[in-house]
Amino acid sequence: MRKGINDVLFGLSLIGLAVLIVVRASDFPRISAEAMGGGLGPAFYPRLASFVLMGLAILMIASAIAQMGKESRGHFQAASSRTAAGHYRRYVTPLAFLVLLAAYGLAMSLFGFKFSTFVFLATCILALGRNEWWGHRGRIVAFLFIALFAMLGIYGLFQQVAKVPLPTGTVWGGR
Amino acid sequence: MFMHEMYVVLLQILGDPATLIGCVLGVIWGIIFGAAPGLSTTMSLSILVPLTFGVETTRAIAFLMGAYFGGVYGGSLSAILINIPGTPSAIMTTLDGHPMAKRGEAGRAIGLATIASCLGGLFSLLCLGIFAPLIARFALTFSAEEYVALALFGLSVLAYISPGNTLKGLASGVMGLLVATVGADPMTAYPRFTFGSAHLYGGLSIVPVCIGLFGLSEILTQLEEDKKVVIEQRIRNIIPRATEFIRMRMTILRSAVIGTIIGAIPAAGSSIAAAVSYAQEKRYSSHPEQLGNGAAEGVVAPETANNASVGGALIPMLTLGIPGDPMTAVLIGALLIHGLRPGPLLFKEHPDFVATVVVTLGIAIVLTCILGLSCARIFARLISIPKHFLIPAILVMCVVGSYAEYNSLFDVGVMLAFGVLGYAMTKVNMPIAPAVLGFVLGPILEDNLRRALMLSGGSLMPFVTRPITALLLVLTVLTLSASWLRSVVARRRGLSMPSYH
Repeated sequence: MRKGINDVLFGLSLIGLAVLIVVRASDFPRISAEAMGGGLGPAFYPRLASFVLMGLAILMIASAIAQMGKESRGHFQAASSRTAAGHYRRYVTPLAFLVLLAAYGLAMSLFGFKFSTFVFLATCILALGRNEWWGHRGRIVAFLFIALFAMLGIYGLFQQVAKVPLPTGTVWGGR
Repeated sequence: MFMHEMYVVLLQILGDPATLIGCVLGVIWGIIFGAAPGLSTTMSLSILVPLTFGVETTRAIAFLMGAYFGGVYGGSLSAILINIPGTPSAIMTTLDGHPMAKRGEAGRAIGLATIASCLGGLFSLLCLGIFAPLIARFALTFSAEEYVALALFGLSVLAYISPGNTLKGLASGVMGLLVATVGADPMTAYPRFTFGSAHLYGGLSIVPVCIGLFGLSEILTQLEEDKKVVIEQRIRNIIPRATEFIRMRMTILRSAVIGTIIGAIPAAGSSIAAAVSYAQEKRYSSHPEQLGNGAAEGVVAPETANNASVGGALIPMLTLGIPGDPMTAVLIGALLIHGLRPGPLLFKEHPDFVATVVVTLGIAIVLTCILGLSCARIFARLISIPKHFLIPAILVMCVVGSYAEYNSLFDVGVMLAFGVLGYAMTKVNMPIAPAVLGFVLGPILEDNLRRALMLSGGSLMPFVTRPITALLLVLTVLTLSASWLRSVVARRRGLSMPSYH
């Protein structure tokens, strides 16, 4: 049932997106077919694709609703708040890492690649490997060294091999 | 003419150790990523592309070809050893590969998979070398209508590669088409959906889009679960006997042909090639009941086919500029960055480059064979690298890889946004690969559709009067109908369709 609801919500978001594109495209300059040498203006193709997307999203929603109808007739699913909590708990780590990643991107421009990458790697390794070092203090040092070597390895790969100029940090007067 | 180019390029590469080392590193990178459960070859290529920005084109191609072929092969290692396909194309290999490993024949299964992969790869390489120049010469006669029909056919195949998810596959592809419209209109240069941002005027770059959709979204999914990979099997007697391959020569030939043809169909890929060749093996085998219980043919057939699809997928990519699978979509992005636009003109203007692709793929196949047979035990150990070391390093490479093309943090934001989108898509079982293929096909479709309509004065008649266009449009309708019918039949029978994305 939850899958069906997700499909309906996603289908509705796709319709919303398609409507937004159609509305936005209506602001594009209307160019006559003569002026375009018989061709079509900049709004033609995005509008066409949006209408196709809208049609597909409507079919997706209809299919999800039909499936949900079948499921509800087949058996009753008790929605327990405990299983729902468990379902959403699995998204906590990915969301936390997304926030961390965005912060890392910003920190890279401020503090440069080396410092921010080491801090990011150390934080992630310690957070993900907490079960490994908990109660083994010596391992924390080992993990920090691994973070340092990983940072230096990636730095060498991009800066030295690929010749990508990595940020040096505006705080230290770099770029 | 083309043979001469290949000969010259081969001599140049053999005389340049840096290119050979690049190819070796690419193969190792590909095998490790391919073998690691949860990390796909498309993801590995997406992260690898930025590393080639500052590298000379031949070396970059050698690196990428190594990673591409090595990655498709690498999936078989985890499929055999831990019953988890490292890549979607190795799903069928688990059926017989893992039972063989449980029987104590892990080494034999790996050996068979390695040699079969390389034989499949060599067959498709031969087809690539022979047919690509012919198709390119023929494609020079194509006009806008043919390209529109080809792109539409590619989109219809998207529906087919998402069995049970026809609508979602198509919606994902159309989303990709829409994302490709961001930036200056190709005909009037009017800025579309740029919201006044100069960063978006040139359109979204394929590198952060691919890294976000394939790299970050996969890592976010991996973060949901906390599984440890443990390899219990001992790997010994890896080198297989030649008599085994003589016995299975028809299996190899059949699977190589299937893999090359399916790989060459725009938007189809190695996963479908493996599934179809396994099904055919079951049909033609004299002992079909043994398949699924650790039969050598059950490893050889899908592994020959999925690696044969590599050369096959490069045919439409090089000759028409249309990706044969998601990995070639990423490769098209890499070539564009190096100033090369795949298509029939590439054969005329840069035959040396086309020869480089063919020769480096050949070298990558040989290296995969050597490394696969000699270092299987080492690769097996690398599969069990703890996630708490692997994931943070990949996340850093996702960020730096997105930043690298234009030294722009804006692209890091684009990567994050597409990572979230890709993650949301996986949560509603919407395949990601069609979105990337749509993103690559988008400009081809729009450009040619508008040009065709301009030339015909708005008439759609040329789409039905030109024989190749009409044939491709009929194939498009048939593909869509077949995909829809399959979904309906499966639903009526209460079966769930496998996902190939």
